[in-house]
Amino acid sequence: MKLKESLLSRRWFLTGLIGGALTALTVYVVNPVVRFLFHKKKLPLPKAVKIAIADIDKMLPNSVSYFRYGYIPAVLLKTAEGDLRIFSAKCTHLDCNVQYKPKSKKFYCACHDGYFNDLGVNIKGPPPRPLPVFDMKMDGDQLIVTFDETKENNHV
Amino acid sequence: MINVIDEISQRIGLGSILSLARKKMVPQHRHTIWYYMGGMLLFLLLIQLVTGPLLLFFYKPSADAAYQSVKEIMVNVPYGWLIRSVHHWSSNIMIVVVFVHFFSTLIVKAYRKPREITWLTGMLMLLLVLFLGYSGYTLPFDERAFFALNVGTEIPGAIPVVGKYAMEFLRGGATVGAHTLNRFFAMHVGILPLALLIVIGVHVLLVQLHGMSVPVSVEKEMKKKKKKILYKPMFPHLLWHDVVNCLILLGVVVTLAVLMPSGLDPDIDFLKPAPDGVKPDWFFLWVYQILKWIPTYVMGIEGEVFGIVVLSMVAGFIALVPFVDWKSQKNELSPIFTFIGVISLIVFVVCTVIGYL
Amino acid sequence: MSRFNIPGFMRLFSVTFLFLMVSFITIGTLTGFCTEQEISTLEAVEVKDDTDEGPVEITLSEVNKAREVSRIRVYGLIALWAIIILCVYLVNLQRKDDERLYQDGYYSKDDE
Repeated sequence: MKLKESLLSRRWFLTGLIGGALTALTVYVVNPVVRFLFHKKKLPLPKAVKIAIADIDKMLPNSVSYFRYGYIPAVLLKTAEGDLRIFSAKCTHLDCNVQYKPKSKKFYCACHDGYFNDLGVNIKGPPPRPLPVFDMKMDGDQLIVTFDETKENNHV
Repeated sequence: MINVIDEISQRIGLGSILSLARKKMVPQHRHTIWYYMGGMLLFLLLIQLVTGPLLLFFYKPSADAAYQSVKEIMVNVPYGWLIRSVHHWSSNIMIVVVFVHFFSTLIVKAYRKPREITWLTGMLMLLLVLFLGYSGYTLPFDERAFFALNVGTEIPGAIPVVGKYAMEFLRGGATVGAHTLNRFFAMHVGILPLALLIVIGVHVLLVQLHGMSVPVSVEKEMKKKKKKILYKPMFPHLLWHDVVNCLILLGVVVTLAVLMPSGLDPDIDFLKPAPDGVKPDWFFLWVYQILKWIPTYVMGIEGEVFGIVVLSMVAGFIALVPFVDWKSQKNELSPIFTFIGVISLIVFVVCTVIGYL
Repeated sequence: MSRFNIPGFMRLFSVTFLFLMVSFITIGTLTGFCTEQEISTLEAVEVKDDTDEGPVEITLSEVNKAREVSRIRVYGLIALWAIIILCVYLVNLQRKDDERLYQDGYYSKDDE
């Protein structure tokens, strides 16, 4: 069937073609720009970190001390019974550093009133997951601390 | 079908601007080709304003991190070599087109009344673009940049009376160091682009106000032939010409960036002597060559001081050409100033070539 | 103030609100609202083994290698020129169409 009139004028067809060609050019030019902008730097984590036992012994029971594990701020808790527990100090809600409240034996995030118990489990407020946990072992007079990113809840 | 421009116009009152745009007419004659230089410069500036901030995402502006960050951009960041090379080549081509625009305006006398302020803003932009180019290649803080900073900031020091203060202002102290890089970074990334954008705004506004200048020779020729100069509308006819020019310019810039990517010199060594054949970037070779020819002392004055003063006086004269060329002011042919313009161009090209060789 | 015809209760509300804001900030600052907390820290030494190279510095030869003109870059350049030439061709067609329309008086009709 032949149409009496064209559905699309010659001019609009040409304008459409130009629009398409310029869009193709724009996409071709923008692609390297986007890949450039989305390059991200992956900072490496150390294999392990050593802490002197003598320094830990100086800590009072039911208190914390902070140290760096690569780019992760970590918190070492010495319980009232003398047990050692190490967690990531970054709140699992929005990454603020947590503090320890000795009276209630809880970790508290001041940013949005989040609470974790002394096992690092989220108990109150917005934090969705427990605090990531570090592994440790004694080696003479040093405490060797490691972080296993594959463990559940251990993504930082 | 929705007409997007109509919809926007109803909301922000584009009506007057659009009717002005429809009325903009461009004369067609044998010198029309020079009219396209301005549009090309705006496009090249757009490329700079896009690639510059992109590089800012990864460049670290401190003396101990700048060099490493540029290496990081070239090697580790995807297409970092391309963005940096496009930025570098676009700046070089921009300086070429700026000089073409400058010399063409000087020779066809587009500076005559009522376009004197347009000329002055243009001269200011020429200086800003040259300084942008110079400050840009000092940012990698490699060996070449270090010598460029030393020599480039030493030259204003030769100006009588204010030279010492000018040099200390540029360096951020008596000697070139980390503080100099900070200063040049601030100038290249903030102060100079802002100043350039403001002056461009004034310049483009004046060009729209006055329309395009027709050379006196063309006017007289058409009058003699009893013909009228043909005018074509800017939108959409000549806009298409501009679009084609810009597309080809984009192709040229990317071709140069891909086939001759920007390099990097070795890291700064404060104790190392200047390498053989050390030279400024090409757009300052003409100054470098002229200063080389001047003897150590001229009429009892230090050669460098004499050279700077004379070059400044020549630059000042060229800036004031619209007010001095009274024949052009009366719309008459001015062969003396055409001669001055052509000689300036020849001197510029010859000195640049000799300086390069 | 009377020019803006702000009713009396709005003035009272805005003054009270401003007073409360100022006292909140002042009292908050005085009571240590933004003071630093002292924390206890431990010195942690990273364990490095022989396979660790430390921070890798990029050499100039790597930079020059990144600058090399590879085949894929040339193909990309050819593709870019192909798109540019296509755009230029289409734009020229449009321009010729516009010139013909202009000669036919199409564009001057807007001004009538």
